[in-house]
Amino acid sequence: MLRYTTFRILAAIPTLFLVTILVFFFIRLVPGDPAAVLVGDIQNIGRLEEVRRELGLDRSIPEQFFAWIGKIFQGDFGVSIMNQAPVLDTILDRFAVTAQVILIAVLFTTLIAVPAGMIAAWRQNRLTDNIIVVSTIAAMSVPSFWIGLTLILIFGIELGWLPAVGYVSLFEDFSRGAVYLIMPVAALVLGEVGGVLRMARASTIEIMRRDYITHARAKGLSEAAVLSRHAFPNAFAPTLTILGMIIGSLLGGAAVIETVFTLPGLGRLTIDAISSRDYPMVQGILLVVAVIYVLVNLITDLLYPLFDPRVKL
Amino acid sequence: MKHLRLASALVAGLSASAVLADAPKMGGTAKVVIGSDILGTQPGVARDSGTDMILHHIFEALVAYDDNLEVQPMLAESWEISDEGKTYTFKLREGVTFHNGAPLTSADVKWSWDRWLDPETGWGCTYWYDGSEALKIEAIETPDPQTVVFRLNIPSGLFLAQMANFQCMTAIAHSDSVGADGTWSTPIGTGPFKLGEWKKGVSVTLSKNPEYSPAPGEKSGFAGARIAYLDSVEFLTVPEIATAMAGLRSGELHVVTDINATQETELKTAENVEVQSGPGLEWSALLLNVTDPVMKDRNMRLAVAHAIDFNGLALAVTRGASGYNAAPFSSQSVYHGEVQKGGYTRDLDKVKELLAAANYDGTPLKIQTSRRYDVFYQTAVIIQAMLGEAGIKADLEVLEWPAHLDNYFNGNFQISSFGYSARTDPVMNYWSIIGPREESPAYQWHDKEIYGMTFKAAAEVDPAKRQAIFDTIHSKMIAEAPTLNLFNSVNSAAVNSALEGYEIWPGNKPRLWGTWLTE
Repeated sequence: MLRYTTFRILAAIPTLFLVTILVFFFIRLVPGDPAAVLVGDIQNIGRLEEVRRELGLDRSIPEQFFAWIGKIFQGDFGVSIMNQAPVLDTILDRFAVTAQVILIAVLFTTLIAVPAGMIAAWRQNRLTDNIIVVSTIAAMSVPSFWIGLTLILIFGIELGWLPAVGYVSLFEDFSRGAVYLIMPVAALVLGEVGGVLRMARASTIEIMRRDYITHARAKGLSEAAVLSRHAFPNAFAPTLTILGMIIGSLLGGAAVIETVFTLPGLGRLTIDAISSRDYPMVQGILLVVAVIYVLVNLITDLLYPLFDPRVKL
Repeated sequence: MKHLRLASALVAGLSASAVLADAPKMGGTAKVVIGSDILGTQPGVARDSGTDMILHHIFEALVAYDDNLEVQPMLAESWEISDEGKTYTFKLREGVTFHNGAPLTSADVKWSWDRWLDPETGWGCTYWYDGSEALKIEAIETPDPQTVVFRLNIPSGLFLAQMANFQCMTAIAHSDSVGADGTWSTPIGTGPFKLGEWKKGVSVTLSKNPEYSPAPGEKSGFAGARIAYLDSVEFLTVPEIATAMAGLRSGELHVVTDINATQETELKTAENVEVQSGPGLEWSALLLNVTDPVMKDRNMRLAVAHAIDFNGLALAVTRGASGYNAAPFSSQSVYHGEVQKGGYTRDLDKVKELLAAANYDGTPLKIQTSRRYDVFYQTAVIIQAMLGEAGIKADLEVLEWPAHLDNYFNGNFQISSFGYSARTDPVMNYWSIIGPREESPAYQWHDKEIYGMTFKAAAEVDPAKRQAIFDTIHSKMIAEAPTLNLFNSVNSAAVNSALEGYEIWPGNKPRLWGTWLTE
């Protein structure tokens, strides 16, 4: 397992290197100039060239690339063009916000989707299954921003139970922070539960047809025991892959939910950085996100043998 | 424009009587929406409109604009201009203290100005005062603790306007705002509010300055008495307007600015929200690139100008809050006279003649626009339709804002639906448009004689002589049509009824002094 882990981490290095090159050059292919955004229409037009020089944007692109990558190796991600804040510190701050929301949302998604998927599979083609499947499709078909705004309208305005705007960190004030997280987490859970549930249902259906399930039933085990002891561990492994992928993509920025619920997360930071052409920030975010993807996938793979003993690492 | 001025005077009068009837209450926290987080706390350095607005609550300058866009004393009690307009002597107001308790002296004024003018600071407007344009501050002297003297190289009719401008605040800060290593650490000003907490990406909270010493006179623009009744103001970053609207209705937010027509209609059903609107200082323009192979022909530019129904366009885009303004400076400006009212009228027969004279072959024109500012896009769509009716086919090229802005700076467009942020003196407006092409393609009009006239207007202190120069420039601009000025922006704000005393003004920047919570 140690060898496998070392190998996977080393194998990630070329991927990350490729990511840095793509990120660096692609953001520069997008039309627009950060210096122009910074200067705006202020009537000192000559200031534009000055700012370009200060930001090093007058140097050739390969020169800029090697200067940036050289600093990355020293752990220096540079500073934001827009507000001179250190890029890495900003990303980590924002990542902490996104991580709070995402991890809680994925936990609830799992707690709801996996048992519901297994029940649907167990009652396949009966009323319970149909209700679960139809509501899943409905939840999956609605865009997350719409769910978010509807939640705000109902619980923020009509009922006035939950705050419609603002954010308090859980680490700062746990109970107030939790109140602010209810709606974003609910919106994410509603958006993601469908995919996980369908995977859990499909893999359980497949398992339930196996001989060892028939055997378990034949030896007189209760249905609950059959499901929990024999079906769950075998059906959960493929679902775990889906969960890993969801965590990866959401940690990379649940931009829509963060915008609707005014959460200062990584997704919103990414959008702001792209729309102001804040090159160091965009490069930093995408690099960090790529690292997160690699790590989450690695952790998922390392967990796999726990649920499926046939897999050896 | 007179009726608009009258209307705003009436509104101001009505709200003044409402204020009298309803005595201000002390305490509470007002919550105001900002679209994006502030960029820093050092005035005029890393700045945008929201950053400027918040810092105007913390800092004050020697002078400030009032509701009528006239320069009034702020930290200065009075000033004298001598030596043929080259020496400005300011007397400081007595009893003013900084947020750290230190009294305001002329040394603080000098320290602040020295900092802004130091190229190392990265302040946005050093070029206004270092001779890059014409004006140079040759010396700032402090003969006694209450007197500051600015010595200029030339007479300037612009110096006070620049000093009071919104973007490059000439804030008087205390030297403890800067750390031992010379870097900016914390904003210490003289304003009615001081910085409480800045939660990056979430909010900026300002708390009341209990030691505040207000200037005489009623609150007017950024001038007059700036009394804080609220204990604190929280400026919240809410990027999604639908969320901001929801917060306003639920009473969690008190002010949301820059409401568009759709949101205004939506808010009509909300009983606890009032929408205020009036003309602002930003202006929309249709840039006609005089170096483009087609648009370089004056007849072609005039054909476009006569194809547009400017009044209809202004009415549609500003919902009647702002009318056609053929000049780049505000219709509220004292220099906006009879000549500036002259613009273009729609005349489709004339368009045909002009197109024939230009040998226009029917190739569609290209109008660039973007959607960061809704008004640019709406303007482009309406103009496209109006040109179509006049027999000029035009295609829209909708870009992302940074690309649109980049093309503006590089002169890379045929026609561009664009706009400029607020300027308060006609010279500053003209300097956005007029200048040598070789210096920057962002200048739309390269007439050397006219460019020279702008410098004359800058140096002139006699208002009548300045007016004559602006009149000449305006007539020539209408004749040449390098840029079609369209209308001034609409300032708008939706205000929850729990907040009293909030008023919009031509300067557009929200002001939370003089406001109080009723609940």
